[in-house]
Amino acid sequence: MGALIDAFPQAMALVFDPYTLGVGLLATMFGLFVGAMPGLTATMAVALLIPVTFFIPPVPALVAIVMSTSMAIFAGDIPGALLRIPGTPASAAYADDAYLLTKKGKGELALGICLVTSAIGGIFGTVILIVLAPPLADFALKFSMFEYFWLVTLGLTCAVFVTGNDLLRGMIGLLVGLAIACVGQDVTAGFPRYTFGIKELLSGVDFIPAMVGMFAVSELMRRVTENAGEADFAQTKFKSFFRGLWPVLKKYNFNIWRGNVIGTAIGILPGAGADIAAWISYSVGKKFSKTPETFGKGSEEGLVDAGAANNSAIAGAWVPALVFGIPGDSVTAVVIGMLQMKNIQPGPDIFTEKPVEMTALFIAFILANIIMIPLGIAAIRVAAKVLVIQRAVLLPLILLFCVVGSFAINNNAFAIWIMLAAGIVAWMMEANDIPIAPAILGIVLGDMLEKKFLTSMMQSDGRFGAFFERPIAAVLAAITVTVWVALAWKAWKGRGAK
Amino acid sequence: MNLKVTDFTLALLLLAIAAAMSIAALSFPPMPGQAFGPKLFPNIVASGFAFCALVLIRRAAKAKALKLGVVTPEWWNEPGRRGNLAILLLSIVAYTLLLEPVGYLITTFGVMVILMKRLGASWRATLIASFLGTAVTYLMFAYWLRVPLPPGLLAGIVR
Repeated sequence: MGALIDAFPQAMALVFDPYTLGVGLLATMFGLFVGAMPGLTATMAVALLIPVTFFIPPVPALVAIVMSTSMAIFAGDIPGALLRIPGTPASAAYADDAYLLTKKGKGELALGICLVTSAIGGIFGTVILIVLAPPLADFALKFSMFEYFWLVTLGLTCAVFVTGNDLLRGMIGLLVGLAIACVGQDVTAGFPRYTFGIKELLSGVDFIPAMVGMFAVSELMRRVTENAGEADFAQTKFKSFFRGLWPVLKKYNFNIWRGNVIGTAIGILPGAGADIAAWISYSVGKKFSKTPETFGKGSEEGLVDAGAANNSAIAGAWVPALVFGIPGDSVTAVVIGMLQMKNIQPGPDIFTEKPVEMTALFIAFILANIIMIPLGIAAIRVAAKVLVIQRAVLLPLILLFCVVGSFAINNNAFAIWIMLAAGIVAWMMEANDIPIAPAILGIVLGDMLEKKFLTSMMQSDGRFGAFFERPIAAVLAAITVTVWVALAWKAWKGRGAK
Repeated sequence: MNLKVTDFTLALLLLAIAAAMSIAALSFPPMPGQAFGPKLFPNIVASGFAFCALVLIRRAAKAKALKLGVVTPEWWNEPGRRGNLAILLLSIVAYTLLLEPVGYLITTFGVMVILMKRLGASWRATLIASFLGTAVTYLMFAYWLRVPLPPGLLAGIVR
């Protein structure tokens, strides 16, 4: 923690540098736009940003990612309230409530609740990140290969059961990711696996084009086969967003706290992000509400519950990502790939080795959630003009960003083939209800899992018992094995099915 | 909505992937002096696929639905939308093939115009958006981020 405090002045100077602020502002507008456009998700915003961040210094790159994700998750509420179409999956839980409130002439209140609870949730998640991550990293310094092996395994297992209703399909998703991670030279002997003699595959499947393909190209493939609907706005002109807001927030202040805690905790869990946080907080809110019958029919309480959860999940997801290199959600999975390319290795040393970047990250989170209020209001006011942008123009422009971004990383057109293949795979997976998030975790963690296992085996001269000898490793192993057995049993019995 | 296969088809597909992964792994050399080598993880993943396939087959058998097939969504019968998808994919392929010989500016502009017109944009919107999209990404990547985008036919004219 000391190193982080010492780095504070330098980090402040870096974040408030005009170049960084300029990049941050562009990323903010980009995040608001992508989040507000139905079908374009926060992860897609980050995937499209990554090629740009590849070429800029680490602090502006981190600021850009934090700004764009925070804004995108809030902005997803805007079309939810105005058109009944959630802008991102994280707003889907309460789109009906927001829309019906708007229809009742309470659009300002609905969006005001979304905006302010998002900002509070974002700041809460950030405080937990700041308070929790550095001490956790100190503790994690005691971990050896064995503990890491079990942590990664537990993280991957967790990703399987938090996404989707069908465990089996979650497992298939994870295996697809692990299979992709097998491509390229193997981590110990350097033997080329599944490269088909293509030299570009020797270092494995390029991460950035794969992410762009899985999150953006697959979405484009879905959208070109849909009918373009006419936008029918519930409200286009707005007065004050704060009138009548305070009594609602005061009345439901416990819900805000509860939503923040649920959101941050779900964010920390590997594989589950803002969308799952919003659904869970919403259903918990409904269960304990005095008026559960209003949920889904324009409930202010439901909005508070879910709105407070989704933005707090964003920062929460960074805790395992930074401390262990295990992403808490799809966004941080993409971020880990970016950090590694910038020679910043997530892990318990990150706070002592990169204190300036980490402090800058914390500052960026706080800043993002403060400027979210004025910029969010501005975004709502122009939404009715921007949301009518023609699909016929928007989709090709997104494709343009996908291809130029993929190409730019190595100046090699082969990356576009990877992007296309990843897009088709993700499109087919989604069509068959196989979740993408576990696959991403498999791609990101596959190498690490294999490396930790094989090097641990070498260290222990091939003795498998060594994985259970150290106390923390034994506890992690016991948890992991129990979860596995339960999962396999459930999948076999079919109880994991919907 | 898009193409969905039956559980049984998915299972056979997974079995095929598992078999292909394991057969290829047969040729991976062992690590000298070690019990495990490059083939361990591919084999574990292949076994995982095989396990999932068996569970799917069991499910299909229980539901008396051991049949192969693709559940085509509604849009599949509308040639226009199937065409949209084909043109999207073909334009990515064409883009990749033409990018280096023809160059970034011409290829990008061309592909943008084709896609926007296909999706039903007006000529005015198409030309303005294609021009701006091409110019802005060019300025961003070629000048700000200093990525040498292929000049192609315009070599010597643009940087």
